[in-house]
Amino acid sequence: MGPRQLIAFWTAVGAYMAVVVGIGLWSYRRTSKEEGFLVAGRSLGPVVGGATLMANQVSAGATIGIVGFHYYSGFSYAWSWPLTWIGWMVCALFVAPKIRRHAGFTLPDFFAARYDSRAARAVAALFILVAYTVMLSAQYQAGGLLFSLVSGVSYAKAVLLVAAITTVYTMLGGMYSNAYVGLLKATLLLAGYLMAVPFLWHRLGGLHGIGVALNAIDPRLTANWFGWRQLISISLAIGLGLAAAPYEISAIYSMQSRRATQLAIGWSFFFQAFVGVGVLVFGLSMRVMVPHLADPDLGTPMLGTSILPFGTGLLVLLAAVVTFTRTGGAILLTAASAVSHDLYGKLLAPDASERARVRAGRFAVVLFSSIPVALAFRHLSLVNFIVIYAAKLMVSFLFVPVVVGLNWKRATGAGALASMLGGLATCVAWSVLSHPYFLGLDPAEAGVLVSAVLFAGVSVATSPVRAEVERVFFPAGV
Amino acid sequence: MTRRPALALCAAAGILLSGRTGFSADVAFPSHQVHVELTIADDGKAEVREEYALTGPVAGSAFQFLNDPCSTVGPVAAGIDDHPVALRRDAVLHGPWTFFHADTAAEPGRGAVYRVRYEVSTRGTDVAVPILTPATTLEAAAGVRGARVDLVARWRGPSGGARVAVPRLDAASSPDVWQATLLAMPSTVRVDLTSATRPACAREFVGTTGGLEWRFIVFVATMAIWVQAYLWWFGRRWARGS
Repeated sequence: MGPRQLIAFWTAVGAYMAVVVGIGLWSYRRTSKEEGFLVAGRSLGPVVGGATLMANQVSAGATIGIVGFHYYSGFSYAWSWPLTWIGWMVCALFVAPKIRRHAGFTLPDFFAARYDSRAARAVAALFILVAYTVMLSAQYQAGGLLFSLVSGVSYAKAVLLVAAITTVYTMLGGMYSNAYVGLLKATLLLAGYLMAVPFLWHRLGGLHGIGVALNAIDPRLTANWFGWRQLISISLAIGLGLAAAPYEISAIYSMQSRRATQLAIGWSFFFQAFVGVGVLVFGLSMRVMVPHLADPDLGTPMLGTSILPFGTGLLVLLAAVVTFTRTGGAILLTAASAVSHDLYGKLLAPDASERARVRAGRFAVVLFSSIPVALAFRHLSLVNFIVIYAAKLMVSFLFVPVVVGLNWKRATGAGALASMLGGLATCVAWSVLSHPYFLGLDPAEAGVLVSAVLFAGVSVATSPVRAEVERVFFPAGV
Repeated sequence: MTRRPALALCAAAGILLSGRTGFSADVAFPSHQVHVELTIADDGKAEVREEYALTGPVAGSAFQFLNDPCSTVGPVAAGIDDHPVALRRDAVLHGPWTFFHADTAAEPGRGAVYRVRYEVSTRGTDVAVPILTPATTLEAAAGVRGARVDLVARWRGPSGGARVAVPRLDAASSPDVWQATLLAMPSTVRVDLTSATRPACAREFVGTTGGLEWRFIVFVATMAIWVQAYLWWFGRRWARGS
C-alpha cells in the first residue's frame, strides 16, 4: 500500500475502533447485571440475532482461511456451507426451542440444570476454557497476519492490536457489544462482497473465464478436490458442533423468544449465503490472478491490498478485521463467562454478589485474552486447520450430551460426564495415533460414536435425574 | 494450556484433513526479489522486462503465462547475466496457460540476475498484458510471508490516456507511471485505455470449465431456496401458533 492508502486504512481502522468502543460504552450502562453482560438482557430479535449467530460462526476461518482453502482446492469446499446448515437445522428443531425455554446464561448452566450435576458444569466449563483458548488464537493469528501484511507493522504488534480491540469492547459491553458489532460485521461483509465479486467477475471473464483457467491447472479445482465423504465429515463436525457450541448457546439465551431464535437461524443462513459465495469467488479468482502464492492464507490480504480497487479493497480488509475481532469477542466472552459465572459464581463463590460476578467477568475477559496471544505468537498452522480441529473436538465433547440430552429423558449426569470425556479422548487419540483412520472413521465421527455409546450405556446403568429436574426440560404435556 | 499440547492439537489438524500439514508448493524458484517493468504504447503494443535476483541455481526451471483472447505474446528472450537461456515452449496444451521450460546447463549461484523479455500485442481498449511467471512459488523474503515483486507500468502515449486497473498500482513520479510492491507475481496486468479509439475486442475464453458453471448455479440455488423455504416455513409456523 502507498502512504496515502495506508493513512486511509488506519483511518478506517481507527473509525472502526471508535465505533466498537462507542458500542461498548453504550452497552456498559446496560451490563451492570449478569443478564445484561452475558445474554444482552434477552433482547435480541430475529435480524440482530441472525447477525449474531452468523458473526459467531463466520470467523477468520472463513474470511481468511476458507478463501485459502478455495485458492488451493477450488470449488468443492463451498458445499461445506449448506452441509453445515444441516447442523443448524438440528439446532433449530431440537436444541434452540428447549434451550431458550430454560433461561440460563451459559452452556455449563444447561449441564447443571439438565443433569443436576456440579461436576458436569465444572468439566464443561474447563473444556470450554481450553478449546476456546485455541480457537481464539486462530482469530488473533489471522488478524496479526492481515494487519502486518497490510500496514507493515510487525506480526507481534499486529496480534496485540487485534487482541486489544477484541478485549476492550467485550470487557465493556459483553453480549450487547457482541450483538451490535455482529450487525456491523454483517453489514460490512455484505457491502464489501457485493462490490468485490462483480469486479472480479468482470475482470476475469466471468465464471467461464475463471473456470477455463482453473480446469487447466488441475481439473479437481473445478470439480471434486474434496470427495463427498470428506466434505460431509468436515461439515457435519462443524455444523453439529455449532448446534451445541457454547457461544451459539449463549446467543440463543440472548434472544427475545423461541420464535425470535428460530427465525434468527434463518436470517443467519441469509448472511452466510452471501459470505459463502463471496469467499468462493475470492479464492477462485485469486488462484487465476496470482497462481503461485506462497501461502493460501495470503489470498484475502493480497486481494484487498493489491487486486481490488482501493475503496472496495479497503472494505474487504475492514470486513476481515471486524470478522476476527468480532468472532474473537464471542469466543472470549464465552470463555470468560465459563470462569466468572460457572467456576467462580456457581462453584467457588456461590454467595458472591451479582456486581462481583460481573466484575469477575470483565476481569476474566482481560485475563483470558492474553493466553491466546501467546499461542498466536507461535503461528501454529493454517488458520482454517485450527478452526476445523477445534470444531472436531467440540462436536466430540458436546454434541451428544447437549442434543441427545435435550431430547432423551433418561439421560443422567454420570452418562453426560462419561460421554464428554470419552468423546474428547477418542477424538484426540484418533487424530494422533490412527493413520490412516481406523475403519475409515474421521476423529470427529469416532468421538461422537464413542460419546453416544458411553452416554446411553452409563445413563441406563445409573439412576435417573430427579423428577423436578426433569420437568425443567420435559414439562408435562409438551 | 501449555504450548506442547496446543502444538500437537494444531499439527494434528492438518493430518485430520488431508494427511498434510498445510499448503506445500513445489520447490520454490530461487528468488525473492523481482522487478517487472512493462511499457504500453498507444498502438496497444506492450514490452515487458522481468529481472529475478537469484539466490541459487535454477536448472530445470519452468515459466508460464495466461493467454488472453485479445492479446498475443511474441517471442520470449531470456538470459542469466550475459548468458542467453533457451526457453522451450511446451508442446502440450494446458488450456489458456502456456508453459516454457528453461534448458539451463550452467547453474549460477547467488548474485546472478535472471532476465526475461517479451512483447505483447493487444487489441481493444480493455487491455490484458499476460505476465510470464515462474511455474512455482517464489522464495519468501526475510521477514515477509511472500516475495518482493516490484511492478512498474509506464504509458507511452497521450498523457492521461491509460489507467492500470488490475493489480492496483499507485501513481509514481508522473501521472503515466504506476508502481507497487506485491507478494507474488500476478498472471496479468489489466490496463484501461481511456483515450484509445480502437475497436473493442470481444473476450471469449475457449476451453472447458470442468462443470464449474453448473456446479456454481446449483450451489447458489441450493442456498437461495434453503433460506427462502426456512424463513417461510418457520414464519408460517409461528404465525399459525399465535
